[in-house]
Amino acid sequence: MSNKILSVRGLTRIHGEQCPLCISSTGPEHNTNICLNCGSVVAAHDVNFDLYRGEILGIIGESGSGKSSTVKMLYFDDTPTAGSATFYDSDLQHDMFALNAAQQRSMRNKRFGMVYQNPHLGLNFQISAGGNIAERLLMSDLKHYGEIRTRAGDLLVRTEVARARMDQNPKTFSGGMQQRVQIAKALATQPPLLFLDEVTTGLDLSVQAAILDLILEIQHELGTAMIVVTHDLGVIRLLAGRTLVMKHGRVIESGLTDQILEDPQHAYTQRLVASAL
Amino acid sequence: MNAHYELPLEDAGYSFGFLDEYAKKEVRRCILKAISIPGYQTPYASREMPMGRGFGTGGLQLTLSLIGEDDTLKVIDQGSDDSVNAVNLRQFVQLTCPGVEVTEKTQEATLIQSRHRIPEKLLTEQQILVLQVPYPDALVVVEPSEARRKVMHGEADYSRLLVKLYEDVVRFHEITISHRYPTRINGHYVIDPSPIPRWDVPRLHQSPALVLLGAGREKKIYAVPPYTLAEPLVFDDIAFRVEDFHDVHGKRIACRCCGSTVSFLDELIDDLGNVTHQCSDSAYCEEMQETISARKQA
Amino acid sequence: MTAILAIENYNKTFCLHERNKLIPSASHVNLSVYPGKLTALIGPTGAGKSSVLKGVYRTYLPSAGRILFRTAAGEVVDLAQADEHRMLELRKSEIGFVTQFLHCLPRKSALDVVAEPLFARGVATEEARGRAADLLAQLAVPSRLWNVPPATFSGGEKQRVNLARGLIAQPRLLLLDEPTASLDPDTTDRVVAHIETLKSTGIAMLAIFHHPDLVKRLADHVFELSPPVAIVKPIEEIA
Repeated sequence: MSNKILSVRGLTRIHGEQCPLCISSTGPEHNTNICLNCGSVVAAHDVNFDLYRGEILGIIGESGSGKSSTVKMLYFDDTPTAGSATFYDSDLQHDMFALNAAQQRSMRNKRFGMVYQNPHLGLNFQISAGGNIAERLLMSDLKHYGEIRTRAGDLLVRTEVARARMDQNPKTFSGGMQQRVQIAKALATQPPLLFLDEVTTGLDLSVQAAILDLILEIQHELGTAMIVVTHDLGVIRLLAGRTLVMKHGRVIESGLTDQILEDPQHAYTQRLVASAL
Repeated sequence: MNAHYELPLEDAGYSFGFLDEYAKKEVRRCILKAISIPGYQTPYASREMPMGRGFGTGGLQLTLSLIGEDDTLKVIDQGSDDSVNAVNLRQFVQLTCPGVEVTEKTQEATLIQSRHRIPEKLLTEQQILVLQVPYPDALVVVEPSEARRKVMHGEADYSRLLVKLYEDVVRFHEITISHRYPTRINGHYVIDPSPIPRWDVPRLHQSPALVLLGAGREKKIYAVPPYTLAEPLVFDDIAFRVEDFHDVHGKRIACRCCGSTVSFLDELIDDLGNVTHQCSDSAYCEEMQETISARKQA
Repeated sequence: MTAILAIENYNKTFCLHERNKLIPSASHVNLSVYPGKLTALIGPTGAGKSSVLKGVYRTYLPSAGRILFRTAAGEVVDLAQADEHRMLELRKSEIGFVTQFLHCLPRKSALDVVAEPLFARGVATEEARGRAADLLAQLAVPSRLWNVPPATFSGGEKQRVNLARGLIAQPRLLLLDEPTASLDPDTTDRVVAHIETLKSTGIAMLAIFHHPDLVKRLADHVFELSPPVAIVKPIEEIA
């Protein structure tokens, strides 16, 4: 079994009509994502990376860097303009963007997990916390009520949401707790790949630390590969073994996280690292 | 109904069965499609009928498209042949389909149109049951967008419906849906079987008779073909339960008219304020009563 | 005996784009490290000793030179060119680095911080914690501190936790950056003894010691660095 879990090549997303000048007139050298000729937005262009089993990859960048766009495409929330991604699952290889909608949905439910910055994107606020997790279990064909109950409860305990709150609506939870429910839900099907999009942004510092810690523990226990998108260097330093730095839709630097933080090569990365409080 | 009134067929130009032959043909083609894809909501060109939507126009169009001079029709509403709506529908068919026989006895009918109940008597392969449907789509409670519902049906993704059942069990320790119980047909599409009680849902399963469901306002026809799987949605460890007619002492309540202890009962309050129970299926009840008095005389 | 590590002409210069400056860090470093032996780096401050260690570990990207490492499988890899996954693998299983300062993970107990390299290798939790406890005891970290996160420890206590973490997995090559800097003589002696034990098991070490005495006690080979020549020309073109 290959150790690789994901292979991304040439991933590109352009919003708008597109023209031949889009790529050459945007990017870090031009300091913009917007094509001066047709006004299209080059959200991401030519993103390449490999992810191995159990590895945590960080993607860091500021607004407009394309980090969220990249992850959105990989989670099938958005369709790429160009490029490919291959998911390695046991002995099988899947060309992700060539799958049909039903296959993509199935992969999303059973092999991926996603935790959004905004809990309203990841949770259904019409049902209980346990119901949110149950939904994912039901989507993956678990139909035994007792077992669903047990597993949902266990996941909530593991993510440090009290089992007693399982039947409450997440509307009544604090921001940090809502993120924990999201994490529990994402892990419900024990996916080998987890996407985390700015999961601690906006939370109180102590809550952030606790959640990052939880993510690390889970990674150790389950060996889940992760892609962590953030603008926070501290989060990258804590979680990611390798990091991509993105600016204006391009990957401008990639390397081992400690090397990126202590010996950044690109001018922008140096500025970014120097700006950390 | 005015006994002296006769439909001036030549002047009015109504064809047999009120609908023109093209309309009936379209409905029959949709019926065939619905049978070919069990449980799939087939869209059809639902006509404006001379009665308001919500009074059984969907069921009626099915009946009118299928009925012929050799047919014998039974129409019931909540199990009763006598209810106002059933009477009106039956008389409309008699008016527009001269020569068609009508009956109250289930076993004599070839075509049965019903609102909210399936007859107690087991139907045969020679019979067709037409059910009147207000809302055809079981997913409408969890997803307001029709486009997304279609995708969910196409992918047989009913997890959100099952979550609703889960929440029911969490809150009430049982599934509280009383009628319109979501039922999976032939292993794929989940239907809303119309507001029949849970009691009737098992009758859809492996039924010898064809069951057709028509929604006039929503313009959908769907079918449970004969001898097809019809499985109410449940969890692996929570079985499907029908209504319970046992009293507080555990004794099965009997119909006050015929004494039946195996039929679906309506609960009534008599003039003295007492709660009594009576068979919902009036034809069945009458037959039971006839049997009893025949025995008494013998 | 064949070297486990051979550094050939290691050179490190930082390009600070904002200031248009080239900052030299280390130059003309040539040395070898052998299994079961300790090579010490000596030289004045600013000579680039830490830079060499970081260059081996790939925290710094070498500007020039080769860093040839002989893996357990017998393969020779140039760490300066190795791809990131390889580097992560090697760090996990073959190359350890005891840095000067402990990077604390919030809420992780000292015991788990030390046991972490063993967890990463798949050692069972109980066994890993047991070995961590032994090591912490050897390094005189009081047991009342074992279940406490190290963030509140004294400098010396932090350094001992750091050391324990670096020593516990017994990598084939161990990089040590002033491992005894904040320790009292007693604990220093214990660390020295431990290092000698590790040497005897065949572990190779490249170390920086702040005290010449320690160099005398432990070093089998010594390499002296002199401060790199300052670059006077400004940066022409930074790609």
